[in-house]
Amino acid sequence: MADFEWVSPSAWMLTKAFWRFEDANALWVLIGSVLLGMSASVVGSFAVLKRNALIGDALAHSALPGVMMAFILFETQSPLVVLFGAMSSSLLGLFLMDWLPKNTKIKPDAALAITLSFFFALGLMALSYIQGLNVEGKSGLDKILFGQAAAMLPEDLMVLSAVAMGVLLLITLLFQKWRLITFNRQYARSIGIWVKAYDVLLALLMVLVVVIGLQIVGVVLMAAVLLVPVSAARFWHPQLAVILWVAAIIGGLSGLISANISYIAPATPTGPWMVLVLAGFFIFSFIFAPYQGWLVRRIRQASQRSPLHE
Amino acid sequence: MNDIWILATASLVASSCALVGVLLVLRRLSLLGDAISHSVLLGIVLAYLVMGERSEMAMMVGAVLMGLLTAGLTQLLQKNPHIQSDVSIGVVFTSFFALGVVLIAIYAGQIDLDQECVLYGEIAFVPFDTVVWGEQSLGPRAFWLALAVFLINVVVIGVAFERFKLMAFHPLLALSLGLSVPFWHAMLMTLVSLTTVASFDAVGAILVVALLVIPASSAYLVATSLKAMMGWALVYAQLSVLLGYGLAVWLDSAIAASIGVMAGGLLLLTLAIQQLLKPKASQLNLS
Amino acid sequence: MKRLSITAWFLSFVLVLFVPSSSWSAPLKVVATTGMIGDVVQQLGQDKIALSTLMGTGVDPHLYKATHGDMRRLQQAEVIFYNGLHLEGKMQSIFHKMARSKAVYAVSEGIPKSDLIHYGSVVDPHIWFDVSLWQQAVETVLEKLIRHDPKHQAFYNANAKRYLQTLTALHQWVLDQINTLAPAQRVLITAHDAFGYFGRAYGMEVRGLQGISTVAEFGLHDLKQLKDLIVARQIPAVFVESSVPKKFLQALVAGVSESGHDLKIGGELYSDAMGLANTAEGTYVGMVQHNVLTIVKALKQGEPSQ
Repeated sequence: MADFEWVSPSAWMLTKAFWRFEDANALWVLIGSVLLGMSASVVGSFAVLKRNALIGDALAHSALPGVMMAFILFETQSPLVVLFGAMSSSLLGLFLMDWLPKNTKIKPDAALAITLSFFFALGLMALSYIQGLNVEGKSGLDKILFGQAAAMLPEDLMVLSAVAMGVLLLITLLFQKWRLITFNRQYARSIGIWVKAYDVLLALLMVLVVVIGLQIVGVVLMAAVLLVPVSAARFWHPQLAVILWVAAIIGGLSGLISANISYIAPATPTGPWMVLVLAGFFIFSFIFAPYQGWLVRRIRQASQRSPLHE
Repeated sequence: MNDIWILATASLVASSCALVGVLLVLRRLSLLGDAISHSVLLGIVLAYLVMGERSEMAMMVGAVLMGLLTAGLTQLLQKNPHIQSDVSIGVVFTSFFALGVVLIAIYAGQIDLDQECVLYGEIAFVPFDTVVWGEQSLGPRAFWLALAVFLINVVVIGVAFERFKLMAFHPLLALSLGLSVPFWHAMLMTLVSLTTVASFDAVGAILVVALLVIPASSAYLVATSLKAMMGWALVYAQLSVLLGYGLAVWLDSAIAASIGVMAGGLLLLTLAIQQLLKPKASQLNLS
Repeated sequence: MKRLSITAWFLSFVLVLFVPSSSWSAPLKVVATTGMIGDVVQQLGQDKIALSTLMGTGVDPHLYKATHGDMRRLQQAEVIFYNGLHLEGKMQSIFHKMARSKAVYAVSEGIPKSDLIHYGSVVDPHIWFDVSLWQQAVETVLEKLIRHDPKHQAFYNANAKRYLQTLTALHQWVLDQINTLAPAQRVLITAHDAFGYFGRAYGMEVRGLQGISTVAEFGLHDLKQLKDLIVARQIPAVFVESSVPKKFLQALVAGVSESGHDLKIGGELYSDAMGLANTAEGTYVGMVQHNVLTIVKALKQGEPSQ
């Protein structure tokens, strides 16, 4: 038996190997996280502009009771059943989050928090019921919210690219309409746009991206990738179209960078590193971005003040 | 006796959360509890790395400090007019959590170290975790912790009630009256961090997040003043605990989750009644 | 109406509190945390005890959520057995405290420190995968049962003797089974580190994809390292565990297959929880046999057929 001693190649060698796409897993993770980063950040932009930045977090937690119910009904964890359960309860959660602030005094942030904790509590209650059942295959049910980015499979890529293409295509096609609805609802309605239908379509896209992304990369990364890119992009430019582009680029780049880091160094989990890279982009934009970055505003303030002093 | 200890602990936790929750909901920081429940991971990991061992006390302290840092950093980011409050919360807690996971991977790969098994308590086991003085058992540790936190909340909110009110409803007026807004805000955030982390330790995360926001929101629907809102929030919190506990006994389910579900149920019930009474209410407003 | 019935429930439970918890003829009330411990207690106590297991069939410690009934079971138990070594997480400190007023024992307490696997300052809790270590847990259970129910001493002793013989035979059987593998084939790759004791006791090298912690994640580098090892050693199979998502290893298998080496998922091993009640895998012996047969069968497939 030849004793196998794994010698860690240098970072440079690994980077070269990474970009020669020698390693299948690395390639899948690279493509998958770039696709997810781009589509999620574009969909997330509309949510953030509606002051629903944490909708990813809330939708992800809302998926839990649906998954549990689906397991109780069908006694299996097959992907379709899980997807069905997660989609239906996330949609229900989305409805509640949307309905509460529109019809009651409750503010959007409270509506999110209410939905999140209520649905999650329901899910855990169902989980405690399930553990009493004498049924095979319930292990891992509690892990439904913890996908791992490094475990990307070719099947995931298929689903992800379909979703990403759909999202990006629809948003490109219907961008004008959604922009109008986001910024001037009344006007949009008055010129005969069917606002409700566009809302529902956007909501469906959101739920689709969250529920699918959730199982692939986990809840925390999903929440981050929906809200951080657009928040960073808003420091760069005032126009929505540019913001979406910048957000998509930041989302895609962070997927690319984190896959690279994760390949080079040991003990660097892909998902959490993507969150950290996103946070890095946010901090960089916060300070250096040309439109509303800290530096630019400082300079602007100084130049406004100086004439007075003279 | 065990049931009574559980109910008493849950009721104290619920009361603390309801009081703090009212202020959070009014300041549109409802999701802070959820954010803290994630970012405490970083606090635990750092405490472990500093102490080199699992020390419950150190991890509690680390968690409270990290909760405070989450709240503080969130607030700092919001000073920038281009960052919404929900964005600041989201950016902070996701990065803190991710940093926690990364540190676990680097330094503590072989240790079962996460909030679930280190910090979050299980309310069903509250009666068994007792404080012992000499030979005498003094009752559950979680109960005394919850009582202490509740008293701190009552005292601080009692003393600073007018200030918190001013800050919640008329922040600009508060500023112009010379109120030290940053100080009182820091005070509130300390209360939030202390209350959430201590309650995590006693009853687990889900119950805390639910009790922070749901009873306060129910109260928001029915109350017309801050005092009334706090009163209603306390009532809703106590009802959720009692009915939720009944639900857990009835279905043999997890107690904390059942209380959370009941809190949501009461909110939905309140909403349903309000919707049914809506025409009447609008008439009343007109007259 | 609903409130009324809940009130009724409440009253009935308050009444239960005042009913004396054990009468003379009643069997000893024992609570075990995991299925593995429950099985040991059942083998020794049989009909002389009333056993309830907190983490029942297929519930691993990570999935476990305590219910109201669990609180009641713990309260009424006369003897409580838990694994210890932090397997039960935060519950462990509660058991420590309960031990002051109640008969609460860690089944791992009789095992010398030097026999445990240490990772830095923490100990690997998965002792049941080394059958000889688990026999020491059986001894501990036996001693405690006799201490709390001395009038059935002979009965417990006889059962324990029989069960320990079974386990000795099992230990030898596992050794024999593993010895049928060529030394180069003895590599066990799973998703998380649960098989340290198994590897040490039966001479297998154990590799995992991620650490013990449930929030731990692995990165592409860790994946590559493992893939290179698999290809270099021509390892034919890796194993999924009941408590970790299959997907993690599927990614490994798919990645290795891309590089031309044929890797299979060798089957599912029971790690933190046993199989369903009333099946072979629902007992400790059955679980070990299942794991070993799965491992041996899958790793042998790499043998060139002659």
